Amino acid sequence: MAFYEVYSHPVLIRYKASVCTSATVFLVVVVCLTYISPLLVAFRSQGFWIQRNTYEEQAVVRFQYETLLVVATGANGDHVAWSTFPHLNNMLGEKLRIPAVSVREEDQNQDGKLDRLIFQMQLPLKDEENVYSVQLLLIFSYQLFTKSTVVMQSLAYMQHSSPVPGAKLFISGDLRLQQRTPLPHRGLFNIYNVSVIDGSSPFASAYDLDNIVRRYQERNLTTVLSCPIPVWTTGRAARSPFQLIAEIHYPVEVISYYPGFWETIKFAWIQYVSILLIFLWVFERIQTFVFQNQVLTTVPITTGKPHQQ
Amino acid sequence: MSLSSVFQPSSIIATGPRITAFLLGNIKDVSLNVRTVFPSNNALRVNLQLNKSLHLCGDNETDCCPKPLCVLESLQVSACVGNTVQASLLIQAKIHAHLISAFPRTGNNQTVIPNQVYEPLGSCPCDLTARTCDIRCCCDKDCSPEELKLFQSHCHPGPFGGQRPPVPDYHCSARRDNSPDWFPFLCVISPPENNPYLGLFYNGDKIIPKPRPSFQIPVLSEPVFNIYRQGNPIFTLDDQLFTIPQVCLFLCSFYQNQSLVCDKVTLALDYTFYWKRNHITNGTALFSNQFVFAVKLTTRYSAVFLTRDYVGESNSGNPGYQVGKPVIAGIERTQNTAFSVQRTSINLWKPVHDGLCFTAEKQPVLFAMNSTSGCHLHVSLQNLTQCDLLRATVGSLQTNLITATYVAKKGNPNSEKEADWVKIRYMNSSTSLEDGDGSCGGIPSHIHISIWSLVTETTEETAQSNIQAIQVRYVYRSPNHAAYLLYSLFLRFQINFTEYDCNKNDVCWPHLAFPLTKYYTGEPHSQALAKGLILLFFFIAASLLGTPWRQIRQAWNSSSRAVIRDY
Repeated sequence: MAFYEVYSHPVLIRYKASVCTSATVFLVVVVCLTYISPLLVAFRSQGFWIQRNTYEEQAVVRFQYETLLVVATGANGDHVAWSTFPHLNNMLGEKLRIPAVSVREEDQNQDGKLDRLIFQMQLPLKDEENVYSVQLLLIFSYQLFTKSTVVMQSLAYMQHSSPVPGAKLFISGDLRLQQRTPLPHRGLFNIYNVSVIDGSSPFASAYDLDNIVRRYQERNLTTVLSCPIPVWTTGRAARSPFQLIAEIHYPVEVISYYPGFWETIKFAWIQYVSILLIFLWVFERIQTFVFQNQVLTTVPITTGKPHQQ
Repeated sequence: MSLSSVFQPSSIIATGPRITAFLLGNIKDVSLNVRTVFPSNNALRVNLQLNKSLHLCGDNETDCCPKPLCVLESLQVSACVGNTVQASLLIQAKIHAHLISAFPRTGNNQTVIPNQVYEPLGSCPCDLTARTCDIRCCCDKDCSPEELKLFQSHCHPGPFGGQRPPVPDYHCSARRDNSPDWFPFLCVISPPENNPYLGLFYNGDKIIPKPRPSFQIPVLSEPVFNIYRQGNPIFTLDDQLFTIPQVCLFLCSFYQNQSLVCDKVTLALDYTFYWKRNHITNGTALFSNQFVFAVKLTTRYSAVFLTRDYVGESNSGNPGYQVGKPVIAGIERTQNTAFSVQRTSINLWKPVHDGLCFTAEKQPVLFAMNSTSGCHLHVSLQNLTQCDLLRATVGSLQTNLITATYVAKKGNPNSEKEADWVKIRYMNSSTSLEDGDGSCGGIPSHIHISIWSLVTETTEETAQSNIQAIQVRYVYRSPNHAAYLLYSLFLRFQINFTEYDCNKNDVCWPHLAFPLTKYYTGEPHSQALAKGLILLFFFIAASLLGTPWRQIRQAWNSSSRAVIRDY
């Protein structure tokens, strides 16, 4: 008749020894090697503690209806300018030229966050004036909510110049976030919630583009308009204004942040345990061999029921 | 009875609180009286009514007004007794049609707009012009079939074009040939009206909008100050801002018309304000006039604030040198036996106009700013035959730059204290001094200035820098070409020392317990420590409930029993 295995179950054998024996020393050495070696292996192979992580979010961007415009109207450097700051407009004197501006912000996918700004401007020009360069500065409020709450005032600066006089400038780009350091993973981050241009200042230095850009670029968190292809159209008809059309999209950004304590520990734990399993298996085999074959003297005690004879 | 005076008009119907009439004829000594009259029993009330509809005619209507001026005719009402006319009334009727109908017309072909809450589309949102076919609007009833055929394939999509929104893919009624076999198990059964476009044209509840930024009326607010502080603008007597023109990227014009003299051409205007505490005590303006005939004009403006007339020697730092300030040098005064130094500066070339050395100016060397500059010296072949003269000329030009013998160690040196000054080491680099045909050797064309500085102490978080040593080296070249270029170079060398830096090692062992160290910036250090202790607590709890604690307990019990047995 064929003989086969019907059922099996493990039998527990306990190996006992007193404290001051070599078995105890062996146990201590094995425990240390089992639990400390995975840590060293995981640490040595880089990336044990994650120091930076990323997430995606589309920011809540609102145009603040503050602009500054400088247009070069002659090849010898004559300028006209306009802004939404009354002090600066007063200082410009004859250089002030008021354009017709219309602005619209749209939420295209109806998710409650604005997706696009359409800025249209028509600047009146005298017949003998020609536009050679345009500098436009727009101010936004930029807010992030998912990890830390970021509230800041930011700007988009665009400039284009051409040796041929233009009739129209079309700009289509994204308002991108520039980070020098990662954001915190929670809390309120509003140190940059100060106006980029101080509209209440009566001094010309507050409206100087050098100063504005220098102070703005010292921030660790800024936005920049990325527009790789501005379109400069030439051939302005007499009596027609100079047109500037800017479409600025607010895209979904990949933002880096410092992960929190538990997130760091979690990723470290995953790495540690996955290597610990290997060491546990290896040293279990070694311990079974050592104690079963009595390499070190111990007293084995079985806990199964002895077979009655 | 003939009346000497008569009212014109003789009777008025008053519809308002005020009436006006004229009394003609004899108006001398006339007195006016007003009393209320009531119709007596001998009065007959006469009403006249036009039984005609006063609305404008539509199509094929009879009882209506063809024109806006509906009725224009004259009538006479006569009161007769028998055949005798007792009295007659002349009526001139000028009646206009009612353009706004008092009762709404309900025609048979009026479209019923379904309730937008339950129906996903308006009647025809793209039908914008009445009685005209809107291009690309396929639901417009004003379009004839021929016009529809023109743009049939380019209809406006979606609810705007009056079309039903497409059935979503997950709908059970959207079963297609290529849908998977398990589609009837997982598809959604819902009425076809239930889709994302519901309520798109619904005239629903009003919500209060959140305040949004928009273009604003410019408010020019000028703060008025009683006293002046640093950074406040200056006001004139009539509360206007005091301005001088600015040279910015785009501002080159005057804000206000100041007191410029118009017949002469002003080239420079210097304002000097004397101030004490928070007030301006005195102010002077210095004009510099010249008669100029020029197409282009350059004007210079300056404003300086002083507390006293005498401007003392300015230091370059207190106590250490500040970045960007001139390096203070000195020439030893040899008259006295005691140490005394007269202040001067170490200079570099500052070429102006065409960059020639003879017309160039000098600028002082600034602390912590590496600089280089130079100038041109034109040399002819005849000069190259007189090499000694050339060497002397160049040598005198270069040594004019640096006349000092000492340099101050600190930014505020004491001219009488020798410990504050360090001697300048002059060195010559040895090169060939031979003169050849068409070339001269030994021309000191380059000067290298090297300054060693050290950061000594940190006072209030700003490092204090001192100059430790300075070396000036003349480099002699003998180039062959006719023009020599004289250079002055200034270098700064700073001693720095490196310590154990984690960024330079492969494995950074201080980072082994990274979240508990200062390098971790994700959370405040105290919070990270507290969370680390919580983790430690969990580990201890796990070990207490598990094998290690049992082993320790067994070992402890057995060893204590062994001790008892021994006794």
